[in-house]
Amino acid sequence: MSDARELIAEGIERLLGAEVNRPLLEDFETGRWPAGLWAAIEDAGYAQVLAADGAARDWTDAAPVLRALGRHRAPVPLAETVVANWLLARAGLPVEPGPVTLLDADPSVQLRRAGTGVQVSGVAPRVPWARFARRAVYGAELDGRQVLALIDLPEDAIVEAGTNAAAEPRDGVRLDGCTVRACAPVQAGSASIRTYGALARAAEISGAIESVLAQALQYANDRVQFGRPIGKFQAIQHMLAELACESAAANAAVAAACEVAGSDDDRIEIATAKIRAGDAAGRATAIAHQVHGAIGFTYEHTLHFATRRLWSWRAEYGAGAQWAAWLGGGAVAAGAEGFWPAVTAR
Amino acid sequence: MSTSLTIPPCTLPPECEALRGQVREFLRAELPDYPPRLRAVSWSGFSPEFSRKLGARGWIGMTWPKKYGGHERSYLERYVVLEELLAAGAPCGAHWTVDRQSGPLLLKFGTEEQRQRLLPAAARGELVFCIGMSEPDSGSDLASTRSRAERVEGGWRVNGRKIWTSKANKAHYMIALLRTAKVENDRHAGLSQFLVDLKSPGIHIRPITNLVGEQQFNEVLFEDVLLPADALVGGEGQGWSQVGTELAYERSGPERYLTSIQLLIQMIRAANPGDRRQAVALGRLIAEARTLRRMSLGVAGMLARGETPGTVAAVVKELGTTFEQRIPEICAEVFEIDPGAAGDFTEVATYIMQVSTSFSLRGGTREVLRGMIARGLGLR
Repeated sequence: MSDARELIAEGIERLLGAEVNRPLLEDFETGRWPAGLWAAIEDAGYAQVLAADGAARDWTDAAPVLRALGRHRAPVPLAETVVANWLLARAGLPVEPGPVTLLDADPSVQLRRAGTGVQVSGVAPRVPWARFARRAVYGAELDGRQVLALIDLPEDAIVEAGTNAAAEPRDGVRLDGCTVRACAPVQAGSASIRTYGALARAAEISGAIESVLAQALQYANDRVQFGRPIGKFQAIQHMLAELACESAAANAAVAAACEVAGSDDDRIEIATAKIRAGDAAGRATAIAHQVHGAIGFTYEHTLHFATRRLWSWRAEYGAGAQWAAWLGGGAVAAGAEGFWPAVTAR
Repeated sequence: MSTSLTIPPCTLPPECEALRGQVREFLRAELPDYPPRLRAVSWSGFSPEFSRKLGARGWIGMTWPKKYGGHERSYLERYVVLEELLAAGAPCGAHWTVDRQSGPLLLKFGTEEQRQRLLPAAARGELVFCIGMSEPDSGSDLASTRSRAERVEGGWRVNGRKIWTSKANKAHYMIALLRTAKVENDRHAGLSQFLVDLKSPGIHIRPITNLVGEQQFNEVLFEDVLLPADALVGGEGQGWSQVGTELAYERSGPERYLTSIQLLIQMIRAANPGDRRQAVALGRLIAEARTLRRMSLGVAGMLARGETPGTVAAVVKELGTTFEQRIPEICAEVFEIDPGAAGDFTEVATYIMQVSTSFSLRGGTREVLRGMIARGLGLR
């Protein structure tokens, strides 16, 4: 690990470890924006972890930040902002302070030329954190070319306040009348919000799984039944071993994708990461709750801050089945002879 | 509390990719019309002829010193050769055991005479080894081994019974784990490893037919078998720790996730391009294959650097065999095969569906591996 990467990993771990706790998470779930946490994150530069130095950093540098977000269940749109700022920087568009959200590809949301400027129209459903973000990034076609657009989001653009299962905002946004502040051509596929949103979620998932593994291990060592810690029972040991396997697989798939993210042919690794991390999320949540018993099913216990995120995140930016349909369909089209050479291509 | 099971990434150096091309070319030339059903037997496929050809190319005993017939190539070069052989379903059974574990064992613990006598022929693909560990009353509980070797004039006398010994009926030598002393309150003490020439008088080998009709594993009976004094491998009483080293080789290779890969290849070939259900199922399996390859290669990288993978090696075998067993299950579900019917795809599916049940038994059961992982997590 490079020194810079290690500094990033240690820094975000320390910051989130100090700032994110149960009172903050409970407050957040009643609708309060964690302004202090966000300010601390921005002051430390993590919102531009991929955008600094002319976007010269790579996803391996950003991975510790995204994984730490998952591990600490931090209730802020940092993953979205990191991806948005990276896309903006790569397209030569302005990167500014503040939360930025991502508009997933949607046929109803369109860009068109209007005089010297560009206009946006349509209603985007389930936009992450829109009510707290003043800007959004959108990739679409304009005049037959792929472009990236930076769109201002006034407060009245939020037409429907919704959440995911973890109380994270997922809002409906009416884009008609919103200002397209800047727009730049990008290489087709290189600015796919679906793809990089999926990678960000996969990384967050891998971090959250680590945290539920740690929590379940701690609980198994502490909780005494039948005269001994339940972690001494083979049935519990085997469940936790399986959870550890799932965690290791999610970590490996995410690391592989982060190494190639941003290159021309990174989609296969990113699809793999989203599929594998999502599958791991399903087993990890089930096992962690089984080990915790009834207490883990209460709101009072903190396990659900991770498991509710895992259930939500695995569905976002393409559920496992969607990515698997693309990956499997591609393999069928490429033919059986192409399978192994593709696996060993790097 | 931080629990991070991460395997460091491993990038293959350029010489590995050049070698990969050579192996692929060799396999195309040597196995042009090798039927899918035989490829499906994977590293259990037994062909002394093929092993000798591989030996002639320098692809057995690749990492061993040249003075013992080896080729002093890197662990990662060996890894690339193995994964290419497995992906092609090449019949490697005749040399697999000696290349993977008996050779390295002899290099580490054997006598100079044993190395010089056996390793060059093994590297040529001419010697078949088998591993005598399990016994009728010692399966996962290896420390309960009862077959014994007693010191006698000029050597050792062996009595007892080994079982589930793969390839004993075709092997020249066995590395046997035998009890040389009974130590009160320490089951792990008093075990030793021996090099057994299977032509020795008093050895009776009975093949055991498996559920698909193959004779791969055997029962081996020892009746007053006399072994020379220098048949001892390593230290007397050091068998338990030596076996631990050997099992680490046995558990961490690419064969622990690629054994069912011929069926996945057949599924890709058989898929209907418009069938989304099949595409989703295949996509999930391909994602798992790619992830396991990354993890398996990472463990190989750790071994190449002299690190001890420990828990993560067990993680890869556990995930790998689970994947190998999931392939026939998913195949049965989304391709609706009719077991026993004719045709390459159905024959491969029928075979792998049945034999994959053994993949989480051999080389340490799933339960033993989960126990090892739990210990690594601090639960035991």
